Amino acid sequence: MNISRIQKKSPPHIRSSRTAPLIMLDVIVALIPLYIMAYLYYGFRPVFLGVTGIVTCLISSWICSLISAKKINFYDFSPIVTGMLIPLLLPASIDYSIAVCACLFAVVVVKYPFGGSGCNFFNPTAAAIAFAAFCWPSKIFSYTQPLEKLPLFENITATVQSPAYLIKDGALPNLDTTDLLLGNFAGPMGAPYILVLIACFLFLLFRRVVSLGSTLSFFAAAALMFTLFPRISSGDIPTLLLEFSSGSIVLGGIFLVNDPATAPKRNVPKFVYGFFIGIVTVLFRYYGGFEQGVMFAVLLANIFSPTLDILYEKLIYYVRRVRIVKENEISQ
Amino acid sequence: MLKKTKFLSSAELSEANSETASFKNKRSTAKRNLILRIKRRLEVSVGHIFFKNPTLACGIILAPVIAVASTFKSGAALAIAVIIMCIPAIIATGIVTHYVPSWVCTIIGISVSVGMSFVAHDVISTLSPDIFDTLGIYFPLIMLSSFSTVFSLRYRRQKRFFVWPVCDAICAAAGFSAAAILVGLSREILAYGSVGGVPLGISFKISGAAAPFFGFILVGFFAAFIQWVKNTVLYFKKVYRRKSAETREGGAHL
Repeated sequence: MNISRIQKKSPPHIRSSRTAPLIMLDVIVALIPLYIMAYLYYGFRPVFLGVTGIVTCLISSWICSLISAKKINFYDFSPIVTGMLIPLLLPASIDYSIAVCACLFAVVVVKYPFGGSGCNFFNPTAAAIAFAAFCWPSKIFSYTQPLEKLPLFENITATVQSPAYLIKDGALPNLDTTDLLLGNFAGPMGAPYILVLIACFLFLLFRRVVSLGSTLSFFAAAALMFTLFPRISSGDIPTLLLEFSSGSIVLGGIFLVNDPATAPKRNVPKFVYGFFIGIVTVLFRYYGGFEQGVMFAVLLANIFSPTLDILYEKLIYYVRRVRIVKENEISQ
Repeated sequence: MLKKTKFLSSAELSEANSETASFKNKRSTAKRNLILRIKRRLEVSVGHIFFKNPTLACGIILAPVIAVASTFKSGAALAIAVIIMCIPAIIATGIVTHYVPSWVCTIIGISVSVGMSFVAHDVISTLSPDIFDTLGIYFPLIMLSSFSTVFSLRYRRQKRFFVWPVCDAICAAAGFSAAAILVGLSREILAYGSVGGVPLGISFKISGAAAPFFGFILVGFFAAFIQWVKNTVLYFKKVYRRKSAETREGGAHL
């Protein structure tokens, strides 16, 4: 063996072609169609909100990196993803100051005190939306009718309630299937467009950014709960469609449940994690104080995420040990 | 009869002078050492205000600050309660700690706090009856705080000198008061846009700032800030010492 050809390199020594910046770029590409839809429905305001979110997250993450004596990583696109995702879960009529506060909370309180990108314990987007919902509940859950161009910088006071609120109140929203699928009703800026979200999910699945297990188990659990305990009695399929279209269940199921930093790393724990979030989301929607519950469910599940991986590892070792002992007994 | 004056020879004179000089040197060295010891001990006491703040650095009486100090007035009420209840308790335990077992010290400290709580109740109720109600369960919890126990354990290892418990008690109470008032002020400005009930004209408010979870986050950030300032000061002190040592060595070589 020629020792001079041995190269010293730091671990990991087995690398995939998928790097963190590439994964984040794929997510950014998947979020762009949602902003296009939001622009078509509400005008330039959603785009400006997105830009504000991105700028806030980038600047705050750079400042936090400098304070913690680390070099600024310009190839870390996770602040851009956070900055794009937070406004999509807010109404298009939200004040810029609230969006800025939510983005600052996500980066300065949830992300960097725990180590920065990849080391955060809680999903920053879910925590930011939960914080905003707690601090400004009347503004976070007040929406404008779509297909009305909103002014860029003025405060918007003419708002309506979303179908999620009406369902929680016991009423039946007067919407048809086309409106539900195209998101032609008052709701969060990026959440109601079911068909576009399904297309984004298929793209991310093809790029192997999201996990089929966790997403499907999340939707399956939520669908099971909506079917077994329906809030509105108008036939099974319209109930499911109404419940999934209203609120941010689909957006949360695709982008929040599949956060690579906070979700479990193994397949079986991912399945359990998604199932747990689905059930807890529906419970929050039924019995919680707010009309939406996916962000609270994600935060609750983040606490159990490392435990699921550890328990699964222990189970695997136990099963292997039992198998080896049995094989030894048979061979003897 | 006149005493005969003994005249010393030059050698005896120089020897006597050197003995006197060494005795004078020893006295001045002892005096300098005493002053240094007092200075260092005072630094330890004064450190309780900032770098060793009992709430932000040591986590003592944290729950009332997080839960109750949501306005400037409630922070001030907490500060008054701690000053009246805890200073006498720390002084009492500091004095008796050399004479009784440590478990008796704890009982004495709590008893003194309970006794002073009636005074604290009267003072706070006189200043503002509403504020006393907001303190709720946390007012009796201050009596049971570990303030006096922590200090009494320290004094056991030191010489008996009653001045230090007084200094430590005053500085620790000042540190807690600063923390409680700072947290209350910040939360009132963010949540209500006012200071002591006087509006500041700020239109943007974060209503969640009055909630305990925000208090937790704010206390965490203040604690991190104190650690950062402490580490920065220590770093610059090290750099200064290294540079002065280098200049001294450079001067010695020359």
